[in-house]
Amino acid sequence: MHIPDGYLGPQTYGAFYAIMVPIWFFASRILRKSLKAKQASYLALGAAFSFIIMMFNIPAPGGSTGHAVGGALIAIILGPWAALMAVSIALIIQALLFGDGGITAIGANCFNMAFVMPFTGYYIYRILGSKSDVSSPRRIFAAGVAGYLSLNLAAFFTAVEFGIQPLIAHTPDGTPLYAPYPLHIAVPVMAFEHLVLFGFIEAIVTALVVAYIARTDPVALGFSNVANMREGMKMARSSKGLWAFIGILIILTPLGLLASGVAWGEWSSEELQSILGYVPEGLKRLGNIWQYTFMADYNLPGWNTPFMTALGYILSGFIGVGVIVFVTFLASRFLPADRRS
Amino acid sequence: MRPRWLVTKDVEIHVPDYKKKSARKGFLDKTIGEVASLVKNSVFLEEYANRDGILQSIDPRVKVLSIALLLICVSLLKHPLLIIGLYLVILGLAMLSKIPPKFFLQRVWLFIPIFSGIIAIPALFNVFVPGEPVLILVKFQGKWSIGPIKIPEVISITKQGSMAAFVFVMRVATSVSLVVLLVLTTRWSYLLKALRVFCVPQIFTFIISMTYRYIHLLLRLIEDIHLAKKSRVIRKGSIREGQRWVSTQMGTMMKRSLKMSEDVYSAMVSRGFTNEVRVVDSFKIGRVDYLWSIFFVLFISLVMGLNRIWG
Repeated sequence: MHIPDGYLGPQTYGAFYAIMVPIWFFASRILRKSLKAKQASYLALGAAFSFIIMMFNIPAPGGSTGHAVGGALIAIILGPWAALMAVSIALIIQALLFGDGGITAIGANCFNMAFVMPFTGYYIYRILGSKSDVSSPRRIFAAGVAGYLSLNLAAFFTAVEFGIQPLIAHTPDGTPLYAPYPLHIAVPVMAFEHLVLFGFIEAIVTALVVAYIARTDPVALGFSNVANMREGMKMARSSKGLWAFIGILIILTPLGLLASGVAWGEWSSEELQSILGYVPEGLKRLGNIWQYTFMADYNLPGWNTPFMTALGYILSGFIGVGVIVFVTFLASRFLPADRRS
Repeated sequence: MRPRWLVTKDVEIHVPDYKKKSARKGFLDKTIGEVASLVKNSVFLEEYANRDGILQSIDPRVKVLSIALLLICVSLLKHPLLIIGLYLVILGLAMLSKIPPKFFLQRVWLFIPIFSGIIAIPALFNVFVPGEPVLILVKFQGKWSIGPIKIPEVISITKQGSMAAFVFVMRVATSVSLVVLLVLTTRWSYLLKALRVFCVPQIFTFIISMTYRYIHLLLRLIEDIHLAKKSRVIRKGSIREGQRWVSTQMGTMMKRSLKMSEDVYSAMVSRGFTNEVRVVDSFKIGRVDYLWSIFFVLFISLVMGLNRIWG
């Protein structure tokens, strides 16, 4: 799943660096606060461990073998924020010194494997395994599901990043400049191999390692990570800087209206028609499923002057962020505290 | 009484068919092989970094910045000729840095883009990348499709497809060459220190270099674990057994590294570590660096200018 150099165009990898830098910054603040002087040795060994996990060959049916990414596993053990930094450092070392994954693609690779995967994996594990004992079969099962789903999500993001390349970057005669396959090929191919093979390898490894640790060292599960997450939530609630940053981003969103064209990857069927000359079959079908948006085109019905459009844009931005914050808040409230803490 | 097998003439002796078995390596051999080649590679790297070539004599910070700019430049180029030109310049730089051309070419072309090359081949055909046909291969009656992929009535190699495949492979090869060149001509400790030109905080470069050292320690450990297992088993176990064994090793490894992080922390504190990192570096920008920078800026402007005109 490591994206090499040359697969993604500058707009895409640039955007992912822009997404990851504030995330890294925020994560490092949380860790500095919760780990203090321990963070250097803790993160270094965690990162070395993340690197090593990817080195193991795991036997698979038919005599073949596969590698696990380990994003969910590391998040379950170290907590999502430490996992984010540990896996990022492992990926940076792979790109810089071992030529595995591109340097320009570090942002995108970290987004897929160090952000999407640990966070989704961690929350799936917490939600499915809640209210059960650390070594109960339910927890082990939850770990397996977390490994399977988080890897597939990461693969899906990777496939979308590949798939949008021919749309955003091609010469006037239609020659794609970077990864050449459009979404309707990239997504099914990636999804297929991860749904039927790699997802299961990841699931088995995540479940077996969590079972092993639950058996031999149950304290390691669900102590550090909970402290870690609480710290993160507390900081998220209190840190004004982050909220100011998000606020500025929302207010700046109408600038997007001035830019020509549409956001990458966010085309409506009509826009795709004009870009591609055709609409992928699957998208046409998908597009017809969801007809009832409250704020179509990020605007309120009837607000049509440029000023009102900008206002509507900001408003829908606020509502969107509000919904996400609300869901996260609910998750943090209703996720039961770990018994051991 | 003599055993029966001594008396009977033609007994079937089961000799394991080694040839057949070695055709497909098990997971133990694979991991051992991969770890060995990783360690070997990182040891070999240092050898070229100490030669007195052109890239070795430039300040690591200037070099890291130049290579990063070149990587971005490669990703912006549109015309195939420009990418080829840049690739040739990189080859020249490798020669001037006293890296044997055969070694350099092998490292780039045998290692990574073979994989990208395989990915690029289907792009030739109009099934995957639509375009003007150059060579018609098959004609079908009527349209049909396999899953999400629509098979058109005529299957052909297209102008757009072959150009896309070519540009794609060349771009990946050129980018990989740049990274290989950087890694081969810079000692890893300098490389990590030089990351500070990108405003990477010192604590991170410090953690990254610590990680790199412990990776080598852990690599050694898993090599030993796998060798120990390999030398004690005489048959291939079931997949389940294998998976269970690998997971147990991962778990042990994790417990070991967490324990080790505690030990390392105590060791650091007992030696006076206060969570403040001071890195000693003796980087100095000299005359060579100024000369390099002037040439580099001129070169990049030329390439980007041509990219504008031809693109």
